[in-house]
Amino acid sequence: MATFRRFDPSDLDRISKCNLDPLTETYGLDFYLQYYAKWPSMFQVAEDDRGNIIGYIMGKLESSPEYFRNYEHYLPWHAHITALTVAPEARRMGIGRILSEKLEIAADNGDAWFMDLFVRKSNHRAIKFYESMGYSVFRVVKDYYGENVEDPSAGGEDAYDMRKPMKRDVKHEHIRENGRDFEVEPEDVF
Amino acid sequence: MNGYRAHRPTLRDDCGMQLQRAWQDGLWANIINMARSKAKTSKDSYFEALELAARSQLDTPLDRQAAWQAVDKIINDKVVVKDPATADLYDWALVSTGMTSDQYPKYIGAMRVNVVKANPKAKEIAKTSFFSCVANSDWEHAQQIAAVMDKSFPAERSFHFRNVITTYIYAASLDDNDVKKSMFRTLALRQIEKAKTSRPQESSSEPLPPRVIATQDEMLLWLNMVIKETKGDDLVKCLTDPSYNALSALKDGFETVCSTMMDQLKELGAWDEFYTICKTIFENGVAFWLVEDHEAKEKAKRDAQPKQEKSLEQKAAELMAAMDRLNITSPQDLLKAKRAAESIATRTIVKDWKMWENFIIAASKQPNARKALEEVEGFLTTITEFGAQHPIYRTQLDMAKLIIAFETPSEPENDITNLSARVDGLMRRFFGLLSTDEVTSLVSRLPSLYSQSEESQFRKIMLQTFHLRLRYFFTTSSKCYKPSSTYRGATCGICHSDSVPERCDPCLKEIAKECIWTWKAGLENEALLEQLKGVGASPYTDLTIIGSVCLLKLAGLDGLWGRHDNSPLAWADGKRVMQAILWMDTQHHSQSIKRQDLSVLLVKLYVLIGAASHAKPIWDSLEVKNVTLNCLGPLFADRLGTMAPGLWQNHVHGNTPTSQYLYYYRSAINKNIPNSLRLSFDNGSYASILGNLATKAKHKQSCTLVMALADHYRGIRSVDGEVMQGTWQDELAQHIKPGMRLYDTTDYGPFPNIEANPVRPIQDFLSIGPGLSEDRAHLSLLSERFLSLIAYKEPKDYRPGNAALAKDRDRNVVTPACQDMAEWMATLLNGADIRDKLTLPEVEYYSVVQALATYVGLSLTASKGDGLDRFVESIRCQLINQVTRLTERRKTASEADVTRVDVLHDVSALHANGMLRESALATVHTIRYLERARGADPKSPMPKWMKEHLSVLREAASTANRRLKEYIERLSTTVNPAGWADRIAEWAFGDLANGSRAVSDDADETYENSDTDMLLYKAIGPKRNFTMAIDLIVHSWAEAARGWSKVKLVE
Repeated sequence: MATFRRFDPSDLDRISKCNLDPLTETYGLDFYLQYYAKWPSMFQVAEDDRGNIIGYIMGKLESSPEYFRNYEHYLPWHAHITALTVAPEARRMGIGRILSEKLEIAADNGDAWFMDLFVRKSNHRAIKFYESMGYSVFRVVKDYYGENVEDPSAGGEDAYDMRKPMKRDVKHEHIRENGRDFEVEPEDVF
Repeated sequence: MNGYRAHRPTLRDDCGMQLQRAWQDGLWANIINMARSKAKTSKDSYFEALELAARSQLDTPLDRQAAWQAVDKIINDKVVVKDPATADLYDWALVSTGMTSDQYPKYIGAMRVNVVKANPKAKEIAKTSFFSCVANSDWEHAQQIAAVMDKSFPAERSFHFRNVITTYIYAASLDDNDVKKSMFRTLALRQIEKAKTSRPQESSSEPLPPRVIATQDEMLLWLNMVIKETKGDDLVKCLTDPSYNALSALKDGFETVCSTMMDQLKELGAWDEFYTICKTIFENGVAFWLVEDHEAKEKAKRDAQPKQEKSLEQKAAELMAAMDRLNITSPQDLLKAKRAAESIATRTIVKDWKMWENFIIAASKQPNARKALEEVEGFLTTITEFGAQHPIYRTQLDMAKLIIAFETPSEPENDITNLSARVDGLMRRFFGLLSTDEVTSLVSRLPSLYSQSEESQFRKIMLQTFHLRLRYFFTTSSKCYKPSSTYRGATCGICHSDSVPERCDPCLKEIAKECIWTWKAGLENEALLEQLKGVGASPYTDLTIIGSVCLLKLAGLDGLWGRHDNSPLAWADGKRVMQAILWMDTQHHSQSIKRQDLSVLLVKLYVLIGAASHAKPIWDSLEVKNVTLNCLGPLFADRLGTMAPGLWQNHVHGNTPTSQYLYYYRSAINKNIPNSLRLSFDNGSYASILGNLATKAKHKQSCTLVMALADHYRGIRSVDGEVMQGTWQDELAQHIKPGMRLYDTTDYGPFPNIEANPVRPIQDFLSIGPGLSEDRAHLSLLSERFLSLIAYKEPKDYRPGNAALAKDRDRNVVTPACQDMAEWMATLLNGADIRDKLTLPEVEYYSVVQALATYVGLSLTASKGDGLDRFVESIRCQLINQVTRLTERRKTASEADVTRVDVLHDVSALHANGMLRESALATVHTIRYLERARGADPKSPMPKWMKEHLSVLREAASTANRRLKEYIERLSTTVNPAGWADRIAEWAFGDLANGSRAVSDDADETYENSDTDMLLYKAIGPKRNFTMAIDLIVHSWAEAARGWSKVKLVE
């Protein structure tokens, strides 16, 4: 069973189910508190019956700085998924999906054009998950990740910048069908 | 230092290039000259401040004090500083020369207010001044600035709500007996109430005025204040007020406000009110879902129709509609948007498990509970249909139906035929509602579920594991036992053996054997292992944990830890303990993705058997760092300072197991949380402001913080033998006063949750002693303060003009301080349940320190030794008792068993020896202090009675140190010789390991003719991980011995 609500800093004392998983990064306090302070409705947790946090999603609302407005890679007002994690014991229950949906509601409330995220090109499971939720690849960011999990000898690994249009983007102007053909460099990404 | 103060202030534009450059380069002498000259010519006090700021960076005390004197003069002469840049310079100068947050309000806070009052329309100046006050927790002046800004900009909603919350925080920061507290509290509540009641009653298409609550965060501010300041029925009345309640919150689309209100009603036990509101929420929820579903179906229909070329008119109409949606400006659209927000919030909240659970409880408390529960079930079933794509909702519905089944008033007959279905997977929640017969019936029926030959191997192993888990769960519950007719204890309901409640040894043996049998068979099934890997299931880890925990219990490890001996291992059966460890280690290494519960168990067990250096890499692989240190750190680091001195050998380079904790707390308290507070204010996240303040308090008063400090200083003392100066003033601890509330936030979530009895969780009997507690934290801090006080030495160049007077002053400080500490420690040590919070060696150590503090507090001014003898005797006895107990245990071992007992005894007694070392060290430092305080003056020599007392104490400390020396030498010689690997194998598996007993052939083996030792030996024996694990344990013991050989004992 899980209940979904906004994050509270005391949750950091109950995130072991998620953060002891080797695939989940533990950040400094400032990182979590920054999201809590700036986008409290976009930091959501799933809590089990015993008070353990078994999943959380961190997101933000932003745009590229104004002085980039005429730049081809300028990002208009949008929401971004920074982190999404579900404890191993709570996977396959739809918790990640519910957390993502809650973030989308917050993104619509915040009048975002779209929601985006970065995912390793090799992370097929995550890509499939996001595609099933209506996300599609918008562009490929070359060597975005320093390490290549499939080929350690490679310089880095590409990321997919995936997007889902929000309600504001009625005409779906901020997504593209052939995003896998568009390649950009990491410095082009805000 | 707070983040905002880390940077040099920017100079005013009229300073000129030369001065600007010198300022940037830190050329203080040049700046002083230039600023002085500019001050003369311009008569601008800014340049005086600039000169003083530059002087504050010099080394001479006179220069460093100059800015302080200037600000003192400004305060005394009531000069009003109006220039913000001048205030910035004074702020920076004073911070650079050690200004604390306590000094801030007087020296800078008041100045900041004057600056804002002089520039009431300057937003940036106000902002800088406000955050300067907030960063220093100067809420008095922050409130004054916020009030000025609210008045200056009445149309700016952020200034208004900032004023409200700052006034509220200021009121909360005042002492209860301060008359201003009530005044400011009332003011804040009135302001926020007005902001709420000024909202229009009906949905309006007009934007809300600036001083009225409009956003969810503003409403949460109101709600948090009301919840904090209103109690009982008044709060219920407030939360159910027709003008604004949870339903109104949903109308605004404020889901968090709604759920917080409902949570409060639940907390208050207002179940009737909860039920009434909740029912309406669910009615609305179902309605919104139906509308949503209808619209989705209509859209799907439209999408399915063949697309026709759109006419120009159609395209234009679509474009207009799209434009309309982008710019919601018309009143109708605003109302439509509000309705959409309400729909989303309501549809979200009616799917939340907590709402379901509480709705069921509320329904069960209605006069016609049966009808109400039926109604609830109807709602939940309908709503689940709309979320069927998420498996969790189906699980939720199953659980809800089960709860409803149990909550519905029962029929007279009690049919147990469908029992398995009723409790499948939900044992913990409903176990208490079943009878012993129902429990045993369920356990006996489960094997039939997986014994069918047509079952797939995957399903079979999953059900088998579930059965063993269930059986273990029942074995650990009192429900499994009936009073015995022939025996004083109880009879196990499953195997019918006579037993003690909650611990049936025959059952534990049987479960362990079955786990090993199943686990061993599974390891040889490659296809099944692949299948399990594919779906991320790990039943073999579950089997290992359940079976190993049975072995640990059979070893006697779940006795009363540490309360009566040096370690929980003191009387445990080493063979079973070693078997469990080797089994878990084998499973741990066989998995590419490690299970956290198994890793944590291994860490605890390795620490328990004195192999901390082997536990460390496993712990490190869990990557506990940053924010998780506060809650998970104690699982590994607690008491490490007493056990593993070797880990502190590099402390001069800042490399100790505790240094990352201290770094984390300093950053969190001084930088991260203040920064977040600022961001919260900037973004109007009012609930986050209150949350940040609570987080700061919890970090400053964390038991983990105190643990890290105590272990840090103990670890360093073990290597240096000296007490670090300044412990008393450590910024992380100085605010913690005796009696202050401290928070234990240890998270035991990573441990397996397989016990039925929540009073005796696994972590309890796998630890050296009880977990963190407020009382232990206070005792350790008081002990550190005592040591810091008596070990304080004046700087070498300190030459007091009047030595006798200086000594008097010292006595006047030390005497009351020691008396206070002794009194607080006595209160804590006399607490009713203190023995449940400390190990026995800790009780003895703190008793020694308490007696030493009492002795110092009384003897410094005593003219006679009468009455003090008993304290000396108490200290002596405590030290000798510790020595005796550490020696006696070894003597009780039989001759044949001596080697094994020797080693297990020695490696498991590291903590006890560490505490003895601390006791001896505290005694020696106390003797040294008293000799300095009363012995150095030839005119007033140390009285004879004190000399005798100190001689007794010295002898006791020497005895302790002698025993420690023997221990260290023995530890080194016992664990180092070769051949240990074979010996450990023999401990664990006896004749099987040395070849005296033949290892049976797998082909001849049946479950019935095999035994646990044989099964386990064959499964984890030399062919597998066994030898490597043993080598690492021996290596780790040798490391521990090496670390202890570096310990410096103080004579």
